[in-house]
Amino acid sequence: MEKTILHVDINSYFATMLQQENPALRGVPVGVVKDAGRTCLIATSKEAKLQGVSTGFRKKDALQICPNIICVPASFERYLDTTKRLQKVFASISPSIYIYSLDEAFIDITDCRKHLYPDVHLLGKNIQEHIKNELGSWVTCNVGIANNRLMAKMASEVAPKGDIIEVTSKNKEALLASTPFKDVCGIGYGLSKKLALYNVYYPYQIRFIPEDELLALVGPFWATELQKIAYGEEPHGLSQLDREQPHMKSVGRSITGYRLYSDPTEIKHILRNLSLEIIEKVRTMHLAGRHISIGLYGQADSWSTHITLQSPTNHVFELLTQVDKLYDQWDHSFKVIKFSVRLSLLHPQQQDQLLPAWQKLESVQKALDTINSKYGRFTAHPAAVPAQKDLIHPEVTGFLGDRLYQLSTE
Amino acid sequence: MYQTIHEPIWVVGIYKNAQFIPKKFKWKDQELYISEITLSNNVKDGAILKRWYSVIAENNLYRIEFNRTSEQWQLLEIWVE
Ligand SMILES: [Mg+2]
Repeated sequence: MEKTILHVDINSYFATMLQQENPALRGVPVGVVKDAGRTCLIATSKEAKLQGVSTGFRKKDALQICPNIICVPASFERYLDTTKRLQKVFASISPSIYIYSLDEAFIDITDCRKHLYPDVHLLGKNIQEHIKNELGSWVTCNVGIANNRLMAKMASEVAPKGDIIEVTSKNKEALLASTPFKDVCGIGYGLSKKLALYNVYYPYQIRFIPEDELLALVGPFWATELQKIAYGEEPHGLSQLDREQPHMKSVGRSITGYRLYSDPTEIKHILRNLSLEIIEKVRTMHLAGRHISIGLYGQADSWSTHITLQSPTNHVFELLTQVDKLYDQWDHSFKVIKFSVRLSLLHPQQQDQLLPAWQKLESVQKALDTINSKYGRFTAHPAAVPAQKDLIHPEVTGFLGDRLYQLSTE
Repeated sequence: MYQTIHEPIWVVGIYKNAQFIPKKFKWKDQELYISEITLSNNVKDGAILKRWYSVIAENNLYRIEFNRTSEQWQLLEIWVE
């Protein structure tokens, strides 16, 4: 049976929610920053996009082309709540949904189309209404409808804001011939650069690259993927979504500072904050990791190092000790602006180990977990880590790499 | 921009369809009538549940918070042009 897939995508999610909340921001260009004092725009409103200001802009560059832009800090706790509510809207339509990022989902209505949704365009309109009722009247979304995820997403990417596009045999080729690679799911920047060497900028054009040349250009995996995309078929990367998601292989945290740091005590504190967040997260996910890496980035330099442990850990004291040791290997040759810590080679948490030292750590960690979950994140913390007000709180990542953690904390 | 306040407020409201709807609040000596709730969210800090309301009162936007554990209300932030 031919499938029917809907791709629903909230327009400029982060900025739109801020505009929904605050009428003073509606209809004006809005730039979203991570925190007060930050200068990098992590999202922009549709009004800002119209003036050429998009995600990744620096505040001062944005102000040059768009002097009336208002920059507002993101509100990640709210986005998490609104995403949960969106999820409920999607789940009310079909049992078969895939949450693709904080503000977009694939909804498979193949099995219920005939009886429940004979008119898919009307269904699209109903979803848009439903979302407005749930999140507010300012919130608009695009809906793409097609027989697979590739085309459904492509349709919603290119649709005008707040519109519904259904891909049919009549408009499919035109869509493939006019959608630039940046709007095609699965074709990243690197790949599109390679294709540009052949003056290929749209999926349809891939059909005209001789097979052997495509193979030489991108290798066998991508050659097959691109051939599928050229004809509007679902590539492997998207078909994979049907599979059960394996647990995450690593958990990392990074932060860019407000200024350059050179004081070792400050740098250590920041690395420890990040470590604390990582432990909180891996413990919630019942994972433990064996590989620890840290990275420091200056304006032109960077440095990183790592260690692999004998057995996996998810204990804060152990991670802090290792991170400190790794940090001590650094020669302090530059001032630091960005910091990162990562715990990888994650495995599901093993049964309790019998070593007395391990058991001691575990009981301390369990006590910390209890206090923190009862009285708020990071209420209790090791003495080596500064008190709560200086801590960096976990953020919601756009691409739900940690979807289990973010959305299952009911 | 949002100006941080973090001061206690007193709130009057109604229950409708099992939901609390704040109608007015008292902050310092002012009584402010809420004309619209533009967004409300359940947020969580550890085990502490909070409900955030963004409300318009006398043409200003206020972010207010109800702490569901301590049952206290707070004015978090005000939007100032
Ligand atoms: Mg979106």
